[in-house]
Amino acid sequence: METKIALAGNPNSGKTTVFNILTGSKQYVGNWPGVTVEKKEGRLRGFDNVLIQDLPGIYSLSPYSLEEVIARNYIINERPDVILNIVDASNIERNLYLTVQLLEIGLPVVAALNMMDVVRKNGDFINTARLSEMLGCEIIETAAIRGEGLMTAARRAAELAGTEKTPVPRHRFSDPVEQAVTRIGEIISGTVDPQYLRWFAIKLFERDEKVREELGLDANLSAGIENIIRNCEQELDDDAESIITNERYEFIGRLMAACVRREERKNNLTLSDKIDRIVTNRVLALPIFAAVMFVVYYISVTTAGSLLTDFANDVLFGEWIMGNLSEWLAAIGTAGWLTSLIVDGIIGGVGAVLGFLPQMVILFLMLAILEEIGYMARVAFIMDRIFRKFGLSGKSFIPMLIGSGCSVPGIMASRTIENERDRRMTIITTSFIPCGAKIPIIALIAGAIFKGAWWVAPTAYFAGIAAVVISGIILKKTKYFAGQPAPFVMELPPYHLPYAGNILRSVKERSRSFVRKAGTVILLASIVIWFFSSFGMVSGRLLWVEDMEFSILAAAGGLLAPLFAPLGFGSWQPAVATVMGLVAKEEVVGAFGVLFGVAGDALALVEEGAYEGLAAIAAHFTPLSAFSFLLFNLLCAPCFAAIGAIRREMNNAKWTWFAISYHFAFAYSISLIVYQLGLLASGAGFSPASAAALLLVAVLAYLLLHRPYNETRRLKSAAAEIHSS
Amino acid sequence: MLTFLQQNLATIVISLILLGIVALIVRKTVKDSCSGSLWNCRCSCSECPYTPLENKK
Repeated sequence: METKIALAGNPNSGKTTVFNILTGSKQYVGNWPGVTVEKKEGRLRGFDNVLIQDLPGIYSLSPYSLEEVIARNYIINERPDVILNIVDASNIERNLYLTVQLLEIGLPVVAALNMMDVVRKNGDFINTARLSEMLGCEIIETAAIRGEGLMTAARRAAELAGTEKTPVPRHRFSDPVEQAVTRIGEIISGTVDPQYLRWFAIKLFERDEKVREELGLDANLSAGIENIIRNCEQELDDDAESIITNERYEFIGRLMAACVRREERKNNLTLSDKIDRIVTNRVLALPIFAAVMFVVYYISVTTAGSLLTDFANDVLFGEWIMGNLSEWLAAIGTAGWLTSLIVDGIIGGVGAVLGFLPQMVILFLMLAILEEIGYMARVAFIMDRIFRKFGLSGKSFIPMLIGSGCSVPGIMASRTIENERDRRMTIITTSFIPCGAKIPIIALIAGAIFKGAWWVAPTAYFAGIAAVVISGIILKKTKYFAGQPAPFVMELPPYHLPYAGNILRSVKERSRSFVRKAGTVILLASIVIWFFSSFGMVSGRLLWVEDMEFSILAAAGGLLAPLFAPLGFGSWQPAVATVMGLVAKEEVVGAFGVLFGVAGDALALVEEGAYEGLAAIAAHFTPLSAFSFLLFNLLCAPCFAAIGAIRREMNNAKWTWFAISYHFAFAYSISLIVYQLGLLASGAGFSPASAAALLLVAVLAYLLLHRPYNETRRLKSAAAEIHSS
Repeated sequence: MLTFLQQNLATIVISLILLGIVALIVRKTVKDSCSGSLWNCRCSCSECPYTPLENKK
C-alpha cells in the first residue's frame, strides 16, 4: 500500500531542501520565500511505497494566496496519510501558527523542528518533549542543510501513517468557541468527511468563503450557522476570525513560555540584523544595490568573463575549431557550399553564441551566490520601497530577480501575486530585465563597438530596471492597472555562507539550458539563415550567390530595414538579427555570426580593426546606433518561449497581444528618442525623425506626469451626473 | 556513377551526418511541440518549481 506524506511549512523553512534530501531530487532551492509555487512529488529514498509531496510554503490555511489555496486543497482533497510539518525552529513562534492549524485538520502530523543547528548556535533551547506533549504530535529535531534527523522524521511519519488512530489535538478554544464549533459540526455532520468535521466547522466559524462555496449549504443551514457565529461574537465582543486567530496565538504564547528559552543577546541583534542595518538602510540601500549589480555585470561581462570569452572566441572557436575544420574539410575534398554551411553557417552561428558561455556562467555564478547568502531577498525588500512609489510592490521584483536568469520562470513566478492587475503588469514588465540570453548581445556590442567599455553592461541592466519603473508609472495610471499595490510582506532569511551544492545546481541548470538552445534552436536557425543568405533568385532561378546582398535574406530583411532606419540600424542585417532574436535572444548574435562572420577570432580582430568583417559592421553601426540597437533588442518583445509563458500566465489572447505590442512600442520609442536626440546633440541636422522623437518625449512626459486614473473619483462624478439629471 | 561517388564521397558522408543531426533536432522539436514543452526555457522542467505537476507527468 502506498503512503502519502505531505511536506508543509512556512515559506523559506527549508521544505525544498528537505524534499531534495528525502527523495534524491534536485529541485531548485532558492533563498527567498515563494520558490515553490506548484506542488512537487517524489519517492522517499529506499522506500518505493512512500510518496512525498512538497507543498508551497504557507503561513496559514486561510485562502489569502495562491500557495495557500494549493496547499489547502491538496491536504483536504487529496488526503495525504500524514503531514510532515517543517518548522523553522529559529522562528518557532511564527511557524507554530501553521502547526496549530495543521493539527486542527485531524490528520496525523509529525513536526520536524528544522534549523536546530541555528537554534543551538544562537544559544537558545527548545524543550521538544514538552512541546510534543502540549501540541499532541511527535516532534523530531532536524538540520536540513546538514541532513540531520530528516530520514528519522520521514520514517516516523511513514510509520504513523500506518496507524488507524486519529490524532486528537491538545489545543482547545475557549468554551463559547468550542460550543459554537461543536454546534456547527452537528449541522454539517452529514455533508463532510467525519475526519475533517472539526476543521470544516472551524473554517465555517471563521466565515471562510471558499469552504462555504465548497459545501454549498442551503439558505436555512447557512442562516443557522451565521446565527451561532453572531451569538459567539456578541459574547466575546470580537469578530469570529479574530477570535480564532487570537486564541491560537494565546495558545502559542503558552507553548513558548513553557518550552522555549532564548539566550539573551547584546542589543538583541543577530549578525544578520547588524548587516541589514547597513544593507537595507534607507539611504545606503540603493547605492549598495547599484554598486553590487555594477560589480556583478562588470566582472562577468567586462573583466573575468571577457577573458574567458576571448579565449573561447579567439582560440577555441577561432583557431582550433574554425581554422582546423576549414582546412580538414578542404583536405578531404568537401564541396565549397558544404564547407561554407558548416564553417560559416553552423560554427559561425552556434560558435558565436557558445563563445559567450563563460561570461554567462560567471554572471549566473555571481547571481546564485548573492541569492544563496540571502542578499537577493533584501533586494526585493529594498525595491519594494522604490516600486511602491511607481505602483508595483516588492513582490513584483521576485519574478524579475528570477527573470535575470531566464524570463520564462520569471514570468511564471508572477503567479504568486494575488492582485490580478499587479500580476498582469509584472508579467508585462519582467522581460525588461536582461535575461541570460541577452548577455551575448550586451557583450558583443560592448566588446565590438565600445571596445569593452566598463559602463555598457551595467547600463543595460539599469536600463531594464528603468524600463520597469517607467512602465509601472505609465500603466498604473490607466484604468486597467489602477489601484494601490498589494502589501508586501516577506520574511528576510538570515545571512549564511553560500552552500556550494545549491550554487552549482543553479549555475548548471541555467548554463545547460543555454547550451541546449545553442545545440538545437540556434543550430537550426543558423542553417536557415545561412541558406537564405547564401541563395538568391537570379534570373528567376534559385542559385548560390557569392554576395549576400543578392540573397533572399537580404531581400526580405530589406523590406523590414526601413522600419529600423529611424533607430539608426536601417540595413537588412541588423533587421534580420532583430527578428531572429524572437526565436531566441542569443540568435541575434548567432545571426551576426553568420551574416558578419563575427564568430571565432573575429571579435578580437574587430577591435583591432584588422578584419574585413569590421568594415561590414562599421558600415551598419556607429556607437550611437549600436547603443540604440542594444536598447531595442533588450526591451522589445522577448523570445517565443517567453511569449508562450506570457500567453499561459495571462490566459488571454488580448492581454498577450497587448504585452507584445507594448514591448515593441516601448522599445521602439526609447530607441528612437535615444538615437535621434543623440544625433541632435552631436550636431546633426533636424529631420522628421527628430521631430517624431521630440513628440515622443512630450508624450512620454505627459504619460509620466498626468493625473492617475481614480476609480473613486470617476464613480463620484458619474453619481453626480445621475443625481443632477 | 561510381566516379561521382568517389569524387564526392566526403561531401555525401558529411551531408548525411548533417542531415541526421538536423533530423534528430527536428524530431525533438516536433516531440517537444506535441508535449507542449517546445516553448519553455529549456531548463529541466521536472526540477523546476514553477512547472505544474500535471505537465511533469
